[in-house]
Amino acid sequence: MKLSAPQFWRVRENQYKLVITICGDCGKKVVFKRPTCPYCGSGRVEYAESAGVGVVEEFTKVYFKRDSSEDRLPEVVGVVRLGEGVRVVGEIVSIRDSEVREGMEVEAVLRKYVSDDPYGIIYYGIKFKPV
Amino acid sequence: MEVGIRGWGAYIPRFRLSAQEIAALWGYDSRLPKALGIVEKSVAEEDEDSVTMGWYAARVAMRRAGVGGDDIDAVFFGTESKPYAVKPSATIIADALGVKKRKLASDLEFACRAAGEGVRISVGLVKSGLARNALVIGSDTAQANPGDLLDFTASSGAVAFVIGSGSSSAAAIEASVTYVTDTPDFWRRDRSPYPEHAEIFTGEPAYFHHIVSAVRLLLEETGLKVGDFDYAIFHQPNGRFPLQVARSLGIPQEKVAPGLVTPYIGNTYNASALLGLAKVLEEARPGSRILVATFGSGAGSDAFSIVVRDSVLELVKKGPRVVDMVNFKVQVTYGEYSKFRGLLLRNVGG
Amino acid sequence: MSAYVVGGSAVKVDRHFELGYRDLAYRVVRDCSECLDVDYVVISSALPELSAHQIDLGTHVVQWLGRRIPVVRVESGESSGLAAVELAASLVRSGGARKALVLGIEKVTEYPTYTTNYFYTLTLDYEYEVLRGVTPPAYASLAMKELIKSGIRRECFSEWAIRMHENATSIPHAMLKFKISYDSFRDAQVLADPLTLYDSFALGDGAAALVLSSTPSRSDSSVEVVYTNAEVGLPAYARERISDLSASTKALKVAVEKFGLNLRKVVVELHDSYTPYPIAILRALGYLSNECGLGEFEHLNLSGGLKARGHPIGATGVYQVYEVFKLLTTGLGGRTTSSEYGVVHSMSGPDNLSRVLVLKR
Repeated sequence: MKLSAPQFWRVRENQYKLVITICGDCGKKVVFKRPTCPYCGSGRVEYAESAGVGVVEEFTKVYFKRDSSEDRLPEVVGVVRLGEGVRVVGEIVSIRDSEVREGMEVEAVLRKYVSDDPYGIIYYGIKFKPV
Repeated sequence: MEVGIRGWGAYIPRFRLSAQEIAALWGYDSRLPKALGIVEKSVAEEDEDSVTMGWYAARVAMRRAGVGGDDIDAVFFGTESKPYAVKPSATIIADALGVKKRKLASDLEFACRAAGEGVRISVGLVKSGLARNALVIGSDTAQANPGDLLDFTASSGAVAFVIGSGSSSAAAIEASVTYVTDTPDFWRRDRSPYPEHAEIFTGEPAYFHHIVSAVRLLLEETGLKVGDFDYAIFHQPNGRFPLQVARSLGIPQEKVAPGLVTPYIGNTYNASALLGLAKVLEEARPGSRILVATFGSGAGSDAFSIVVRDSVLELVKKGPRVVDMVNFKVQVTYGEYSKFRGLLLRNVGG
Repeated sequence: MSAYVVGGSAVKVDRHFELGYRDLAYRVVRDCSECLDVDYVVISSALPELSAHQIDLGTHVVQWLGRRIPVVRVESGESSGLAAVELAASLVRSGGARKALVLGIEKVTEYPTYTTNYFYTLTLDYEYEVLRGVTPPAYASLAMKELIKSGIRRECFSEWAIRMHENATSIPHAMLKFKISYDSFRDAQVLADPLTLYDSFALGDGAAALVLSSTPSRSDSSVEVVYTNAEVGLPAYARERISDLSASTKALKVAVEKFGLNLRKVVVELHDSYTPYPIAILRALGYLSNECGLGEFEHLNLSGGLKARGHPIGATGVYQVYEVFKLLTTGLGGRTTSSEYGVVHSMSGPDNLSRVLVLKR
């Protein structure tokens, strides 16, 4: 798999950090720095960085994938409700998969997403580990 | 101007491989782990590398120091397991932590002591006024030829410090000195996946000579005696060497034991002695004086005299403690270790 | 002006290792005399860039068919097929074409299944979902867990799959023409806990064709496209519940109200890539209780759905419309209905985009 350098470089802020978009019109919050509010379409938005702490609201165990990170299967993927109130999807790491529970407290960690081994680029981004 | 440690942070992967399992698999006598002073070693997951672990330690160090990205003027990353042979790791961590663009940033390589040199460079930058605060990270996913003696100890971990000035430091770095020679005791050639070492040659002429020399220089320059130190922390390639070097310097074992982490997590290379320092900062009373001596093959040692300040008690609470990370663990098999560290020959990318 | 479906054809959904994109196109129009008597071709496919290293597939297909008819290719993820029909109907209604051919073609067997599944995963947001480890079965399993938590029994999802297999047994072009039972789920391979292989669509190559015309043919063999609609949903992570398929629900609700339809009575084809999705939609529309109630539908996914007819990703919507067209006219697999309306629903990803099309006899 050939990974693009500029594609990742361009979006690295949203991968390295948990940026939240706050709508100046409807007041709703959503994860990722984005130009418009997905709920009301307003372009009057502000940004804040999440403290990176949250709770696992939903999770599943994934057995199939193919993107150069399949050596991590089975992978626990969950929806985390951040302390700031928004939901974000991500992998739950540093656990035995039988340990994950709804309501489990987690914190954001930087991990490798995928890498163009052995010579290409590495994409890093946020995942979650138990506090 | 007093320059010191304003904040510190550590990272130890949760997974552990027992030395007994390594001994059994590779046909070593079951008494060998005890002789090496190693119970188990930490194992990073597939998606971890020196950058991701260093990021975590640095994030905690900045939180403890109460500094933001705009307050950091230099980032030094000491490692011998860079994810990219060419392309700085320091910039990835700095960007991910929001460190401002106007800064110094580079990766330092000197086997296990690059981060030690990073601390001394940072002290110099702060003292000279070139930097207000510098972030120093030591992080390694140490490699070992499977089945080699190094396989018992080569592990993964990270530590980070924010070096700056001011009265709110956790600890003052009151003196430091470095002793370096050309001594080929351990190396890894370009394109080689695992390091080579000269076995017994890594001991007396390398580890012991350099650490003892650096510590003696420090004592000479400061006029301090070994008895003036409450704690002594040395680089920890195994569980035995630090105790032996302490003995030769006349330092009692009880001053060394609090900073010993290798028996429980293995040798984290650039994090090794400095991770011991992080642990001691979390336990020491204000006013305590700490002797730290790093070691890097090739070879060199940095000796520091560090005095703990009152602020340390508040700063401890602002992040996870080393002892908690040492104890929050899960055992893995050698098979899992091999998978986690990519030791199996697989066709990938199909 | 109006748009009528006046003809069509479908190739069996299968592992057609011996047929490429253009061979499948030729195969499906070969037996359809009216198919090339058109002045526009709309081709739908989702994966040719990834699975066959081909862009501008439409042009190459038309050249291979020995024609010089203007062509455009439509790609809208899993809803590509219905998007193509929507576009062709619009062309015909506007006078842009007198007759248009919609050709849905897809190859999903050029690579091992895990590779094609990765291509399919790219219907999600690559940068913000796929890189984070989310896969379509992962979302589907989360939706299933939510629905189970809200009171729906696991057996309801299994019942959907069992009914789909049963329905497919009489469909000539269906991929999986065998029955399954509740026992099948016991040892089924888990894709993403608790979602199993039996809760997932069947992946097959396929090609289906439809001819849309501004004038009806003989009254018993054409149907009118009376309604098309597309709704865009929220990204799944931005919803309070993954299983809140508001775009699908809204699009179907508008159609139901506009024509006074009862989905239990009319011909309906729902996009059942994973069993939780049609269950979530029918429940949101008020058709299902916690006790399920799938038995009350007279013409629900008689084709066997994506589950058993198969899901040739970008061609599936064309299959669905073809099947409803046949059910409303000359019959499909020996089945005919007296239903006046047929409703087709297609979506891409977990309700990222949902389309609804209504056919009237």
